[in-house]
Amino acid sequence: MQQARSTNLSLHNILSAIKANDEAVIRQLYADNYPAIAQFVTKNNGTSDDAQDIYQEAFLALWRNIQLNKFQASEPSAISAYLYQVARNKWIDQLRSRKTKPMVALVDERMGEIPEDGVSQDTHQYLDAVKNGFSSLGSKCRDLLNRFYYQKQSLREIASELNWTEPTAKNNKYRCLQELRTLVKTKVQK
Amino acid sequence: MNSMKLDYDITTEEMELIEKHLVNELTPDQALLFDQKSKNDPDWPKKIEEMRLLMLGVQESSLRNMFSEYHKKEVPAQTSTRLKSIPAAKRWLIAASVFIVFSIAAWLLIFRNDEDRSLYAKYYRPDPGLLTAMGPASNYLFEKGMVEYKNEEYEKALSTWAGFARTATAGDTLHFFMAMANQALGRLDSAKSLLAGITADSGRPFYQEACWYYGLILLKEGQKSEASNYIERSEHPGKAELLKEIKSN
Repeated sequence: MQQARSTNLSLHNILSAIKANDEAVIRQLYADNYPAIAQFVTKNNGTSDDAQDIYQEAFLALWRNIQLNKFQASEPSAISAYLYQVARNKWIDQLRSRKTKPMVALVDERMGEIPEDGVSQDTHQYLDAVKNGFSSLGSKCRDLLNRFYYQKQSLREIASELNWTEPTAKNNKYRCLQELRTLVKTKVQK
Repeated sequence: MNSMKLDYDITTEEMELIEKHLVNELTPDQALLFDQKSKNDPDWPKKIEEMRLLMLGVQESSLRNMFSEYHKKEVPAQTSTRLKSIPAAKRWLIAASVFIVFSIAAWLLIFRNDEDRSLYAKYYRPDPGLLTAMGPASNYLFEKGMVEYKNEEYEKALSTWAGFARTATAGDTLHFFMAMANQALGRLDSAKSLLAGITADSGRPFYQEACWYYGLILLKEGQKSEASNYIERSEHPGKAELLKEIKSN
């Protein structure tokens, strides 16, 4: 029984696993890359909460680029480098906006710009509006959409776990999606 | 956000049609309808793109919501402790106090086993598991157990695998992950006996991993020299550091 390991994977396999929202791979990437970024933020006037926020923003940026096929790399270490660079630049921007002086020397301040991802501003705006809208949805809708789109549960599984019929699960899913779209439209067209 | 104009409606039927198209699940009838929409609805490309982003945005939101759990479970405790927000001026004072406390504690550490146990706690992390893709029926039970294992439902995984273990296709992969589930549950004797077979032959799948976890169990049991032998055979990234720590204890 040959299985692909979730550790020591090739870049191609890591990217495929992230695209499929493979939980084990995402968890491991999350855990492996956090310490370096946390160390950087906390050595530069940040708290552990700042480090966590900045890291999670960077992680989402990586995930989004991979999903949109915009992440260009040739080896697995590029993932860590990208996360570090995005987090570092975001933290330096925050320090600037807080007018706080860094505590340790920041070599050449920003480590160079984050490579252009080729994703349009409209796309970023729309996705950010979805994230905002999603947090305003009711908990039942959030749970249902999460199960279907992120956890990839089938409507049959969802219906069985929530004591619904399959058509009810389907109707509820589209009702929630319409509700989300209405929230997104409000935010995008403001 | 003035540049985006979402001045069209997407009906529920259209949502379903586009969604099926995006996941390549259109039936022939739906494919026909989809083609008609492509020809007749000038907003159709915009609707497709919007649905794609809507589905992606939902996934991104879900991932974001999982971060707090990831952080709690996956970020090593020593990192969180080390990074607590402390006013800069007090850092040296606290560091000095911590040093004194640890120095005294070191004197009090009479039993070497305690050190070995703490090394175990520091280096032991359950294996993350395998990618799962609910494949052929012959692997179904294994895959199901793997999903449970990755959700940290170790008891459930073991009971799913118990049925599979009796089939002809059961092998080292299954034994290794049964060992991992037992180890995660603290049943070190069961884990050891499952790992022992794999560590006996360097040509077997999961040999390196089995050596690492077998070595850790021996370390916890206080068998430092034996533990070092096994850890030496693994290719775990923490191997060199752990061996150094075992030596210096």
